[in-house]
Amino acid sequence: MPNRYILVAVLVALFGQVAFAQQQPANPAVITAVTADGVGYVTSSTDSNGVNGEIGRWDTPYTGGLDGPPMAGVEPNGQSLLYIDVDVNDGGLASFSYRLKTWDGGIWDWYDISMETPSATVNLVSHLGMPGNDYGTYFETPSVALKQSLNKYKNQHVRFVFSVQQDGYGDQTLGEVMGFGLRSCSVPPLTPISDPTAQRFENGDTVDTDDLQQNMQDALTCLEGAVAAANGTIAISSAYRPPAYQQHLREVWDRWHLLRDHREEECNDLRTTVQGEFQRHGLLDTQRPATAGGPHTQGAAIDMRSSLTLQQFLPLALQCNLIRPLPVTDPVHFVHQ
Amino acid sequence: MKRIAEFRILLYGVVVLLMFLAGDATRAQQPSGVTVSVSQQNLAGGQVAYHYSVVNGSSQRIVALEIGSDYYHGVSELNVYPLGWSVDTGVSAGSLGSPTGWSPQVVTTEESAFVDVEWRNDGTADIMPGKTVSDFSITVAASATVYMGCHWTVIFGDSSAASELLVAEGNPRITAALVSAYSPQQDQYSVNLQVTNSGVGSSSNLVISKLLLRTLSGSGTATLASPTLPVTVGDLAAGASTTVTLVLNIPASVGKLSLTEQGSTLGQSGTKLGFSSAQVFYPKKGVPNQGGVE
Repeated sequence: MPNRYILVAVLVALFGQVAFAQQQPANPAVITAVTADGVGYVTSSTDSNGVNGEIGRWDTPYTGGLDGPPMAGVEPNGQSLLYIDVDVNDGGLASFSYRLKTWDGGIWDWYDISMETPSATVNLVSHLGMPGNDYGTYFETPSVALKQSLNKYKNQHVRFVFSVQQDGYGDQTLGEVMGFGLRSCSVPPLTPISDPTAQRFENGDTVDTDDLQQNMQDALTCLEGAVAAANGTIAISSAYRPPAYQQHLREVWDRWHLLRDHREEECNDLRTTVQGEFQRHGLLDTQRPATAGGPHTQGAAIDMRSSLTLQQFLPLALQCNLIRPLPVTDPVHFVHQ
Repeated sequence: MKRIAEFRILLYGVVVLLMFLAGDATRAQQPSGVTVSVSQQNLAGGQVAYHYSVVNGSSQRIVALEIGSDYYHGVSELNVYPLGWSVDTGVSAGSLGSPTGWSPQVVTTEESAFVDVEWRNDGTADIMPGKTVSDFSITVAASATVYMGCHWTVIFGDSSAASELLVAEGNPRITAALVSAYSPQQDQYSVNLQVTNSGVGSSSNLVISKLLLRTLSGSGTATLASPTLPVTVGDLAAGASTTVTLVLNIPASVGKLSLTEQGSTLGQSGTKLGFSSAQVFYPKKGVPNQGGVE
């Protein structure tokens, strides 16, 4: 028997007050149920942004390496499902964010999002998985915003289906839905930061070299000494970053990317909020932050410039085992060789 | 327990069969109504210009266009850069072309070698519903197929987005990709191959006549159990795709293999055109609980 839990009263109250604060129809759409199904490993919660869900088992990293052997007993075989049921009434707009984390290739495990109406199934996200046919490496997508108009389905019932296909091999996959709500703006709000370390960064303490990996700390000490001996200085703009903070940076950039040329009034409040965050973090229109699985979140990268010329600085960095892997697209980014 | 396992195998088979029968309908993203086509122009000195045309068949105005951007995966796709571009100096004159009112920029992603090219407008040149706008172009030092086959993303005036593959003007262009796989029994794999016509011209009488299976690591030889070749795929309109299910016998000693499909199709003028597409496949050996209960 699938695990079912219906949150009718709470959700009706929540979304009756919050979701349709602007331009509320006389009888707005309401969420009537949130239900788990399939092979299990589904959790959900609600907060001021709406319904959040985690679909799929996500508790054991895959340690078999690229295209490695099975890990028995840590991944279900089949679909984990989350349903969000909506009575459309006079219509409206559903919006949410989604994200995928996986150790598996997209031909084995994947994430589908659809909307079932009385007459058809509308595919919203089809077969989202790690690109390519390899498995065993970590991959995650950014938080992607999506909206779906409900106005074609007035006075009908629709069901949003969040489905994660898992193959039982041991390389787990997690699908997430964040901030599912019925609102007038097509862009969901920013995900709140709950991680205390990320909050410290959010409050302005953004350069953390103490949490770099030991070999990076040793290399940095070496380089600072070498640059000082050459009468130069180093300006570090970023080192270790908590994954939750990195996710936040990417989400702010992606939201601003959607909202900066917004031509309608519905999102004005969110646009102002996101613009403020974009400017406060000093983000650039021409550089998208990385997702949360990269070297900075592992304490394995430093972004820095030197007062020395590149011709002087790069050999010193190399002497200290630091290289620039992406000189064309990310020239301030250094990692251990 | 074994009966449960057998039932699950049967159920999975039924689901795969239904996916095959439903074909394109179950696999496609919700159509946006927008089409972005690309054509190639060879220039002097080996340089190549790619020209993009946007047809807005949606009900929303388009306020931004990106080439080489897969919105739904959140990744950029261009690892060959526009002519003369650098992070420090930006775009060199003439390498990115724009319609009146639009301005281009190259967008990098931190920690990544891949970029995309984005156009925004000053608020006076949105692409309105029903309109077509051309004159977006990117010039590169030498031919780069990624500029013909990558994703585009558009951002609409209500801040929503759509993203699909480019369609190349001219003949049909047949490509194939693995989209799902499972192992119904030891040493046997059912592989779904999505065959797509990413060209502008329609494809008819599409036939896969050869399937080459080559062991790339390990030892032993993989063989095709079904279907029998040649496989008649049929007709594919521009932008359409369908799924072909292959059942492969792959010995446990094979660690990695390549699949190469070869065949032919008829273009709109009736010309016979050949195609070839290849993928790499890693069989998952010893799948625990496959078809059973964890």
